[in-house]
Amino acid sequence: MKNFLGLLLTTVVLMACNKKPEAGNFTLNLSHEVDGERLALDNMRYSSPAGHTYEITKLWYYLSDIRLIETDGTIQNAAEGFLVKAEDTNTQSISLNDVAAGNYNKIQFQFGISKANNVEDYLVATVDNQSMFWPEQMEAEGEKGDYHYMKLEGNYDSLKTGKLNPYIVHSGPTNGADNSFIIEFPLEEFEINNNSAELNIKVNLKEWLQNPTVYDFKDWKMVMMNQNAQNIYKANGQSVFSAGQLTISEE
Amino acid sequence: MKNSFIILFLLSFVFSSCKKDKKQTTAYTLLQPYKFPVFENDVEKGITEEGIALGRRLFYDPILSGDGTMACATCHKQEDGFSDKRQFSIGIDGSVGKLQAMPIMNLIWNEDFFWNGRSKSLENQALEPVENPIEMKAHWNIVIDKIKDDKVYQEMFDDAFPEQEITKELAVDAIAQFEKILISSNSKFDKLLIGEYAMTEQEQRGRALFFSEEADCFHCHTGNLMTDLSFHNNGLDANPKPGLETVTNNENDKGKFKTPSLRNLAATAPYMHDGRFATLDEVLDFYSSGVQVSPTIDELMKQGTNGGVQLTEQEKEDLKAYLLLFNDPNFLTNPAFASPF
Ligand code: HEC
Ligand code: HEC
Repeated sequence: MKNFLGLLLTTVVLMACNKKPEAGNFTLNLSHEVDGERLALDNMRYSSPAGHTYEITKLWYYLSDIRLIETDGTIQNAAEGFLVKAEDTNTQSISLNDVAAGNYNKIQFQFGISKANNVEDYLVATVDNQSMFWPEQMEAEGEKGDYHYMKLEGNYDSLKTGKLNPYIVHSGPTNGADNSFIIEFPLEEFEINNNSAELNIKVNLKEWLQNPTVYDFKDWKMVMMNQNAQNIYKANGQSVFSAGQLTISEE
Repeated sequence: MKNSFIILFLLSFVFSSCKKDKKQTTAYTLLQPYKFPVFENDVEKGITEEGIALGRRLFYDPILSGDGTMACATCHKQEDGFSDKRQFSIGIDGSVGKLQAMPIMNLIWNEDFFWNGRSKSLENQALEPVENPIEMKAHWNIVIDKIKDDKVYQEMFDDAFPEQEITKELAVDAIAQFEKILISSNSKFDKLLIGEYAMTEQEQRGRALFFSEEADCFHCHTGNLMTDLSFHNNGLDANPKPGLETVTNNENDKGKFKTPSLRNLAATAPYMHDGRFATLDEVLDFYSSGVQVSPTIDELMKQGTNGGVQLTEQEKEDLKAYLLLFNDPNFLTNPAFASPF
């Protein structure tokens, strides 16, 4: 009996002494801005590079396949899609649990969903995910249905003309083309070892409308089935995201 | 010391196993129909056979109304997709409401209830009609007293919620359990998905229209539920009623109403929040050429400024044929959903 107690104590002590590095958490915090101001939905007060006054009424998009890259090049991949919704702050913080211990200095993620992953079963069939699904019948012959990458909607110039001018930017894999793209940031080297790291990411929405190509709502009635419009979004998207502060907190 | 400890330990075992067993309830397993959304936030948990039986009885029982003449089912009739053929609901004292009763189907996936979304759960929703002066016009405490005096209910409550006092919270919990199993997933469209039905050419043309960028029905009437469960102003009026604005106090929400599912349309007439359209033809005429622009009209009503999507008569017929694929006779006649009286 005494022996047993002794054994128990030793294992407790041993467990506490165990110095093996442990997994931790990594969180991406997204903040949506237009012109350095926090995004206000339903507010006809932004001016577009093409000279329109505009508002944003809806912004939903996917980030997926988040890859944290270790200094030795090892990739830790969270092969999941995350739906970000401008009206729901819970969705603007993406947490990866159980990130392998190691030293990291780079992050990559996919805007939208890569062609390989963009199949119906990739995302859990929540109501929201189903409403981002772009059905099969809109595709070219032989293509299966897939998910939109982004739904950005609003109105422009309605104040000046008194008439409603809607714009709808639905980006996605038009006829199966892969219009998703990879965003990558080098990071100051940090260690994951039973701790949490948080990276702030600024999402400057105005960049969708400029840099390198000015996107004029007037010229593009439909984005969805229009590969030229999708090309502009793919190129402009690169400057939408920028990495801000990285915070490490021990646990 | 050692011995007494062990004895105490053993005794506690004996006691806990001797304790009279609480009555058991029978868990009800709700299956997610093929290609339907997953259940979120554990909504499918905690449903029991006994809870459903109790909820069903309460749903059909006029005991919930002030004068014992009106049940939930008076305005939510199974053969009408649990909605009401009358344009406006009429209360026990003859008061006429301003809204069309909503169908009760596939609500387990919903998080906002009523046309303006003022209620956030089925349980909470069910509290309202009982006391609503233009509906059942009763008082919950009086209703609960009547239920407590009723032998059948005493037993059914004890079966569903063993050893708990009868309260309005338990009553609406049971009603919500019954409402959660009102799932319609057996239409021709569902059969199509599993390869047991092939569309006619007309239905195929209708489907293409439904999903076309111009008519664009599918962006709001989304997925297999045929609703995005969100709120939109679909352009019914140039000067819309408040709708969601009443709840959010945000003028941008004026005229936004909960997107109805398009399942069982053949049974759920009349249509829209105020039941203004008696037939599907009238609805399609509206989307074709009756759309009114107002400041909050949805961006997805792309042809709003032209009055609508301008469908030909043939296109309207095609679209209608597609919409009628979502009728589910099983749902409308399933004896498990019918009155237990
Ligand atoms: C007098 C007719 C009437 C009675 C009785 C009635 N309802 Fe309703 N019900 C309505 C109307 C009208 C609406 C829409 C009201 C609104 O949006 O404000 C509605 C809405 C609902 C909804 C919301 C559905 C959705 O999609 O959001 C549910 C659920 C519901 N009723 C359940 C019940 C239950 C449960 C009872 C009994 C306790 C009941 N109703 C009694 C007329 C009635
Ligand atoms: C912008 C979103 C939107 C679009 C696009 C849209 N609807 Fe609707 N639909 C709604 C909303 C919201 C309602 C309820 C409006 C109300 O009652 O105020 C509705 C109501 C209906 C109803 C009545 C259902 C009932 O039970 O009362 C039918 C039928 C319908 N829509 C069919 C269609 C068809 C067909 C199309 C394409 C031509 C379409 N809708 C496009 C949002 C939309």
